[in-house]
Amino acid sequence: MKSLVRSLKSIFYYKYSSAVLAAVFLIITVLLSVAVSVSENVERAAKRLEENIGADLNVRKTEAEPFSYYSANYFELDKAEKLLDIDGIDRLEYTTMSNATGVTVFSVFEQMIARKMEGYDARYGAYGRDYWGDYEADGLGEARTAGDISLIGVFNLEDAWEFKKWGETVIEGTGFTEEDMDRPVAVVSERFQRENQLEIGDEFTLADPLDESRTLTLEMIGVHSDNSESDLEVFSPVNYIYIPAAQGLAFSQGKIFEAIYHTTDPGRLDELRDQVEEEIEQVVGEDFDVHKESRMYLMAASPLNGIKNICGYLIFITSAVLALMLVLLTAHRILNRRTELGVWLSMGEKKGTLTLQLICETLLPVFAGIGAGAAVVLACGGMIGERVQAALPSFEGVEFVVNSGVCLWLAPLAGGLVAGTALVALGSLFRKKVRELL
Amino acid sequence: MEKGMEKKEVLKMEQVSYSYVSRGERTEVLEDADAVFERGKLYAVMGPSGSGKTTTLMLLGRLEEPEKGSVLYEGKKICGQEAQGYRTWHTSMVFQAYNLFPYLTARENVEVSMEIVGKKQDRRKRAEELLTQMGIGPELHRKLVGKLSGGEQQRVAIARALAKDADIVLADEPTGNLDEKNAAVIQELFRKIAHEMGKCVIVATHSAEFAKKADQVLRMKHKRFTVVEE
Repeated sequence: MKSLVRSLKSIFYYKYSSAVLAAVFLIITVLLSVAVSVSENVERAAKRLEENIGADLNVRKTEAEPFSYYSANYFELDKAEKLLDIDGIDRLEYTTMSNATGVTVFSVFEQMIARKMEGYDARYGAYGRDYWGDYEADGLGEARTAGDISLIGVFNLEDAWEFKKWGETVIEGTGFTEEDMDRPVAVVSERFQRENQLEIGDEFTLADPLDESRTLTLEMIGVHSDNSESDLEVFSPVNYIYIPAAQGLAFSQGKIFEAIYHTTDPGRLDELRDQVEEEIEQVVGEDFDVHKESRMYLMAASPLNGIKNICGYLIFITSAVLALMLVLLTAHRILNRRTELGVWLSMGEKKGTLTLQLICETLLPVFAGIGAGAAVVLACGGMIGERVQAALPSFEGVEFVVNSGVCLWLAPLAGGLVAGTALVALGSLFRKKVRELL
Repeated sequence: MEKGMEKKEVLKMEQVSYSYVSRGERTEVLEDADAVFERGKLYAVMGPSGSGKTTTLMLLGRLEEPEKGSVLYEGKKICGQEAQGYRTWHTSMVFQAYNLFPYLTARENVEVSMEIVGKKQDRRKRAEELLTQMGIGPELHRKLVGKLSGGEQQRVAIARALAKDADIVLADEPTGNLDEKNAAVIQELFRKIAHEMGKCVIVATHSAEFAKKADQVLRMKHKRFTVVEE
């Protein structure tokens, strides 16, 4: 008790240095609280982003080629659905791909052939099957090959692998909205639209090349750019027609070309990839390639991670400065009192009492500063949160919570450092003869 | 030796030798020095600077340990572990630079001395009495010592030394920082402390005036004490 009373008197006497010490710790507490709060909220925002965006695992048969006709490249949706039981897989999307023959439209390739090979009897198509005569009989044109239109069923046009591969964009009309998913609508290439003189809202009909009785009539709601390198290839993307996944699945009779497993936990993506690969091969009994697709999440999370890293550095630097400052200040304050200690000891005062007094003299202003800092953070937390939220759009939807609990670890840390330094400094003084201190 | 004399003798140096090393050079300060100190007497230890006056006080106050020989308190050798108790209970020191605690008032500076020896009752009253005895008026009792003059501070330091009622008061150049008038007051106080309070007061000093007031002057000569006057 006497140590505490003496230290309080000393703090009051050395009021300016005590006030500076308290002020420094007030600032440090506020800085650390802000840094820790930002860091924690960034983590929450990143988690939310992670859950919202997540990451995908794209699963295709090993030999699958986007332009392939071979049904071997397709697999049943119901088999793919079995993997939804894997912990961490939240939903399944898929891509269908079917070959189709134009009934009321031509593929771009057909138009090219018809123009450039005038007089050529294209009755026998490149794939050894002759649908020509029938179409001719229907009055639908002369140069016609079977199944050279690719009908791709997707959930999200912009995310479709083939769409992204060529960097395509919707240049007229719209892509698919949620309402479109159950409707027979289509987005075609600019070239396809031009060659067939289609307008937004026009309908056209396609048929299954293997069973012409199976037709699909689609309404063109959008036109996508045509960035492919060559439109002369039979399966050039200019002949891709994108339709909603459900329409594609009906046309492909329940078979899919690609399964897209979505997870809200991108941190486990590698682990999930191995699990999915193992299980899909077991279920289907063939080899599969599984690709990770987490670029969206990584791109979105990148600024947040940057902020988190900066906060981490700020916390580290502030803590290091704090530790160094406390050690130096405590040592300085104690070594400066060397003569006084000698006097106390010459009077017979106990070393323990003196140690406690000197520790209290440094600790009390430090604790006062930390307490005041916590109060400032509590009082201004809302304002700080609003500012940070306004500055960082990634925080949208995340309530910024200010952490005023920094003092809960800062105070013991400061206490430990002060006590440790005081013990070392006093130990070095107490080892000397009392006369040397005087 | 008479019985009464035996009781009066409080402190004794027996064949004490002491040296220190400074910048690699050993300096002998005391060599087989003997001295006897009694209660109720004022002693002045004199000698040129560096002759060992302060060292003598440190040895007597057990703030230093003799290399050879012994310091005896009431006939008993003070061993290493007893030094702390001896310092606490039997000696008090007064310094040239007063060495008061600046964050305490005059009264509190005196009170802490009693606090150390565990005196709990009437500390404040006793401190005020001592300060008044030393010529510090009540208006100064509650002032921080930094606000007092040098002479006043030294009187507070003496009151602090007396507060724990130790038998031996050791003073190192107590008038060194004071003007003549204040020095005379302090010298007189020390004389009274010895004669009226029955303490053994040992003062290391350069002052001839102080020496005149002393009951015995010990002059440092050839690393020993020579009694000049009684």
